[in-house]
Amino acid sequence: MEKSRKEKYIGRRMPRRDALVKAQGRAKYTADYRTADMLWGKAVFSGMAHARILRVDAAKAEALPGVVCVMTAKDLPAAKKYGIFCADKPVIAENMILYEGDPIAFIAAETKEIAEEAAALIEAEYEALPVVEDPREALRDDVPPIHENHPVTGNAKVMAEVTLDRGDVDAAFAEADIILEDDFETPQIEHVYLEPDCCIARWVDDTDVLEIVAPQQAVYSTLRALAPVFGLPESRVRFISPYVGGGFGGKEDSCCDLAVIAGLLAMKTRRKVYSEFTAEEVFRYTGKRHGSYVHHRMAATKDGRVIGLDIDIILDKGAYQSMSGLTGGPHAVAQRTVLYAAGPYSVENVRIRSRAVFTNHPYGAAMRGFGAPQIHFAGESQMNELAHRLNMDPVAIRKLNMITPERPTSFGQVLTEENGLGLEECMDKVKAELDKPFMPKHPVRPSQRRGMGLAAYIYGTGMPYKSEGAMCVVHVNRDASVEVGISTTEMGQGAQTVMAQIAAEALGVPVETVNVPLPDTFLSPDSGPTVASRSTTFVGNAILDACRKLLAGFTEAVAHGVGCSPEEVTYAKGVFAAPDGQEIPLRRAIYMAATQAIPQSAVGIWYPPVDIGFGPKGGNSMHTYSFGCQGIDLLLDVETGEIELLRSVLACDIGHALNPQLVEGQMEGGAVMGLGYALTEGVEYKKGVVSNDSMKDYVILGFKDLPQMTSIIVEAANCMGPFGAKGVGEPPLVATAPAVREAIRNASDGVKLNRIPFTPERVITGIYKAKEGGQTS
Amino acid sequence: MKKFSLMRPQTLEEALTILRDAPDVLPLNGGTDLMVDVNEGKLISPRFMYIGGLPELKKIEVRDGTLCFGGAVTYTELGACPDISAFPCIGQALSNLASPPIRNMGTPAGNMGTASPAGDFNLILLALGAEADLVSAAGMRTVPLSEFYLGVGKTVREKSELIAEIRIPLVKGQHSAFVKLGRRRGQDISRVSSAVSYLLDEGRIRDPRIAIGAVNAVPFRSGTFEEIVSGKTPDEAEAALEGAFPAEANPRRAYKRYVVTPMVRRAIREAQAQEGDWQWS
Repeated sequence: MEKSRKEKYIGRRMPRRDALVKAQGRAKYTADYRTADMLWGKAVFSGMAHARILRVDAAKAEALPGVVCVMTAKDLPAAKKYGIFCADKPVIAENMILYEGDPIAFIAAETKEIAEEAAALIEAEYEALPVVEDPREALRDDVPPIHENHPVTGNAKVMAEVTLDRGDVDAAFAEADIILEDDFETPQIEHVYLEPDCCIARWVDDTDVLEIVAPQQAVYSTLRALAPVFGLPESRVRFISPYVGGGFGGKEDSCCDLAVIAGLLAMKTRRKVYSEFTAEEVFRYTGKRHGSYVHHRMAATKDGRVIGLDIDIILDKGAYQSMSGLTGGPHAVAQRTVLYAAGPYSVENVRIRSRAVFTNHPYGAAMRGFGAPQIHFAGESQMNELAHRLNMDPVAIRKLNMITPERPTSFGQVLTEENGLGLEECMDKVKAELDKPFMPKHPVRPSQRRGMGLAAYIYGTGMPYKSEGAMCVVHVNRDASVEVGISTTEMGQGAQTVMAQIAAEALGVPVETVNVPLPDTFLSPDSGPTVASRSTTFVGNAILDACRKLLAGFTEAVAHGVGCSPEEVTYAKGVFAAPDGQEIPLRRAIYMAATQAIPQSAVGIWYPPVDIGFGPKGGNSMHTYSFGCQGIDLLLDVETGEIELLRSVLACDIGHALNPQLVEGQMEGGAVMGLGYALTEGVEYKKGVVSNDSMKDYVILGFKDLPQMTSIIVEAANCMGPFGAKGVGEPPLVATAPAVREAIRNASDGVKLNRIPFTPERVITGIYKAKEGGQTS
Repeated sequence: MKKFSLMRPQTLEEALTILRDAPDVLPLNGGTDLMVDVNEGKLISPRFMYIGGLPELKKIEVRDGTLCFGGAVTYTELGACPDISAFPCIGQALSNLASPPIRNMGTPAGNMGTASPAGDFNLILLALGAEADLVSAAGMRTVPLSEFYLGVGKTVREKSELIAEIRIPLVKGQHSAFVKLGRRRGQDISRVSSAVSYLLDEGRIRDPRIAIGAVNAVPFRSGTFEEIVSGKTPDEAEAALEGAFPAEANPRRAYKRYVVTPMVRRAIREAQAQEGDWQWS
């Protein structure tokens, strides 16, 4: 990417426009919109992970003074189930409890205290059923299926199965010099967004509209999923998402879990209803990153070429579909584990199968990385093992295998320099940075050993569906200020800021005059969900399209006004220049447009100009891919298993950094999240019931644990992205865990740990097992 | 329902009378354990008596060669007392003990009362040879920390008693250290911890106290380890303990067996460089 860009706002470090109001406490989140007249809406749960419901009796709860209404399954007005991809999650459980988060009743009461008292008065009887926690066990013939009558899969145990079968895998393994075979495990983890889920719903009586305010990542997905539950057309349900206190993929689904409670109670009572989950309830009831069990076989030549992969992936689906994917599409998380199974490498012979299997755990949801962290843990660990086996440099072996214009992806997509291929630069820069001398500032204990490691990743921008595209409306006011209508959520990533930069750049107006309102289905067009590292690229392109259309209209208006052809009019820095030397400021041009029936609003749209289609034999999946490399430098105490992080060096090829400050924020946040995944995080269960349901027991890293962090931005421009951009939201955490594994391996003379998180307990146990000559895991 | 009742006596005498007459009343002394129990539904409708405001229990002073602090003194208050420089392990523990809000509320005496096997400060008091005064309406008795704990959540304290004062002997030339193994630094429960104190007599360890936490049901001192290290230099002691295992330890989880001795050795090593600093007269 040439560095002498002429853009005024693009590529500039601009502070987030929501930073000041958030720092000052003026930014309003959903719970800040509570009012005194609201009812308290509460869902009642069984406390069990798998049970048949024999009886639910709400009579005593209903009789409690202050209780306005109690709903059980028989009181539901319309659809009884919901879901983003398919309606399989009961609004209120009628017959079966399939995980701890299946509610048995909703209560609306005058106060929180009354609602809680009423919840204790709900009488229910259950027949406890055996809890299925491990998807591998779930597949056993002697274990009954979780679902007896799933709307899509019936009584099947597998929700989604996605395969990729290319080349001749058996021949590749037959002629391989080296075959590496191993198993890898990753746990379900919680998003740990700081704002617990909550929702305010009210029935707007004068327009017969149900209005729902809640933190959401995808207002239109929520709308489509829930309008049937309310029995209303989508045009009469209004979803608003104020500032969101973190989502990380979780608030695609969890907002639905809250909105059905408050929404139905508001419809029934015709009162405003507030409902919330405590932080503990978020841990127990909302979706999790899919746990994974990967059996990985890699065939390679003695010079380091990977010639075959045979991989079987089992995902812990939890109880409901959410984002696992549907067999036949959309394939979602199961598919991404297949797409990224070969990593950023070109492997001709692949046989990959991924199955999302039902269990009695919380539903496997979207979470930052969407399947990529799980499969990269296995794949990049194997790549490092191959380098050890051949005594090759980890970067050299990756360069030998990486995707190039001549060497397509494992699913057959050809990527050229125009798509942006920055992996090599990322790896070189990480290695150079790790090679710099660095000494810890404190004395190192004799039992502490130093280790470094790295891993690489590939991650697509957007979703691999034909329906994946974005729409927006850009409106220019008479004073030339601009409104950008999009449904992109502001959840801390800086969407409002970068979208304003794009619109200001394209229209040649001051960035301060561009307003990017927060999502509201009554006012914002559907620019798609705020997921999949897609917003800057997809929505940004749609904004550019709208701006081009607006300027074309204004140019036409000016040309007509001064009596020349539009081609003779030029536009720069807010001023139109006519061939006769006249200069017409944008404001004047807008007025001219208004007098000539030329619109001051434009719909912008962008779909990637690539034939997207993924089948068992492959196909194009995303229009571009982000690449990157994570380096880790740590100290391992070989007597206690404690890990002290020294350095995290992360290089991300993000096409072009439209706002490097925001990019670095994503990179640092992603690396920290990845380090937590590698070292401490994991949902724990007792009989399917979450046992570490608080910030005290579910350990995420704190500032004292963090290493020195270096974020290196690499820019291999995406010719289809706005100003060359690709996605950066999710990729930074994809390769962290395998890099940590490799650093531990190098610090411990070869201890192989294949199960995250690497807690001191797991690490020291692995070290002792290796000492005793046993297989580590 | 997360409801509880709260009494707030104004004097120690009043508090002891309440405890004498109503043995079900629980002294609330920081609440960093008890309020968690209320929130988790383990304590149903308890009757609490808040003792944090009792002036008799808020004193910190040096008396008769000991650092004395009242049963309602918080971690923050203790941390602000210059005399704790005599005990380097206390500073080490306080900097990583929970978080500032918890240290503002929590008290050493309160954590002694709830007797968590993983309580960091319980271990430190043990390693420093502390003793505590238990008072009731009937009188007062003094108990050394080594005899205070009976089991998880169980102590020798009678329901009618309050911990009035904790005393730590000020010993010139005492070295001490506290180390813990957690999943992250700070704000995490100890998986294994150790606190040690000793004197160095011409470079050799004298009067060692080696305390180990989060391994048995109660924090304990390892007499066998203390015997091994006595008379050795810290380097020799570390070497002598390599591969050893404290006979008193009875870990339920296998990995604790691996890490107990390394943690003790680390504490011994760190203590070598950490001599108490105090205005000895």
